[in-house]
Amino acid sequence: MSHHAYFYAGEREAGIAKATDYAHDVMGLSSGNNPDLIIFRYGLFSVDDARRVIRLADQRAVGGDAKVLVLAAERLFHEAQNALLKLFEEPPPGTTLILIVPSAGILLKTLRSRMLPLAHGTMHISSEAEQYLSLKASEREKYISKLLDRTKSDKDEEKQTARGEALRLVEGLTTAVYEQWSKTGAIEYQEFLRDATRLIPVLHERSAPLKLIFEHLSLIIPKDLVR
Amino acid sequence: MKKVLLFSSLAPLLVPLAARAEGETDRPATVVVEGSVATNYIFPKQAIVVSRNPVVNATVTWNQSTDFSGYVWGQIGDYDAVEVDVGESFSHTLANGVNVHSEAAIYLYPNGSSIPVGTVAVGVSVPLGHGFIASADAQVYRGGFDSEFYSVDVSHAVGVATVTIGHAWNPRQRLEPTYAMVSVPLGHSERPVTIGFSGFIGAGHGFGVSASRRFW
Repeated sequence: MSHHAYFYAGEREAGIAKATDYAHDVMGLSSGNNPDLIIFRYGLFSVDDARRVIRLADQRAVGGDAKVLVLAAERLFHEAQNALLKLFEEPPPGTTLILIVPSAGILLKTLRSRMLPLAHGTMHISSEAEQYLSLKASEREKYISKLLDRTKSDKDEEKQTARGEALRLVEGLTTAVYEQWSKTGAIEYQEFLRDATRLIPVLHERSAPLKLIFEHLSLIIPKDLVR
Repeated sequence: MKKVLLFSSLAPLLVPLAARAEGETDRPATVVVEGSVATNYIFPKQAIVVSRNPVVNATVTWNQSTDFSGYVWGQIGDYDAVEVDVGESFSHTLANGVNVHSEAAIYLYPNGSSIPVGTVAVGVSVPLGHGFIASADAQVYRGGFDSEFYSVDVSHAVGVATVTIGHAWNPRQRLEPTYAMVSVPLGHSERPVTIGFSGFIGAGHGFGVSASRRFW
């Protein structure tokens, strides 16, 4: 028996591929221009986006009784997640929802509890983290400073793009540290992971104090972590 | 007890907190209100943030008994965050002049996030004779910014000024600053403006200037 709401935590396009496979294999929906398999890609998923999705979910399927909505978001405001609670608790009949996020840690427990994992995402070190780890210490400071400056841009699009990069950087660093911790079990890696997993959900908040977070993480990141 | 911010690289620069220390020893008032303006220049070796924004602090302390007091400490102007710390502190001076103090607090960032940071601190100050006072403090932070901060310092009155020299360690953040602070009250009024200067080396380097005053 199939569930009505799933999430995939990992790289976005891989998640969309899993979602389309699910729609095809379980729901019988093909992926080629199928109006009942709707895929949305978001940088930042806002409350307005949530409202649009809710309205769309209320519409009947075009070709049959079933439709699948795939929502792939890099960041979700907590208010937006709260707005989705009712929809994910009880979607309209025949509607299946698949939420794709970079990591499950960004999901509120209340929303997370309404979904089943679609599949386990593969470990992915973001290009932002790859770039950061390839830099010398002094260059890393400049990289972060520039990124933080961009998060204060007067242009909203630039600001949101930079915040998305900041999130991917921390998530990528966390993945890189996790890989090393899996090999060595070193306490330094474990301690970084403990703080990073607490702080990643905060990065999804509208006014997350990035300076505070990046200063701390850049101070405690294991010294030998380079690419 | 001197205020130590979450970020230890800044700790020596928190001259405004000299004002809070004054409040803590000024027990006759039930409620003490203090404010300060400060600016810090930090040239970090490891820290990524060059902080030079002016910050404004305000503290309300209410003395519950001879030894216990509660406080609310707020700061705006740096880190893109409003910080509000709510805490309870204990300070007791023994017969030989030795002071033991402790504090438990929660740091909140009401405009920026839902991160609450919990902290517990303990310390002791010992008179060494000839006007010198030695202090040792330890503080632990938990809640996503986990770290420990230890410091030892010696202070001495030079005229109306108080000079403090110390060393601090934060092993988790790999910071080890040596710092100096000078606190000078201006004038002889009941509530003078106190000017503070401070600087540190060893975790990058930096300096700070502040002006603080008790209002009530």
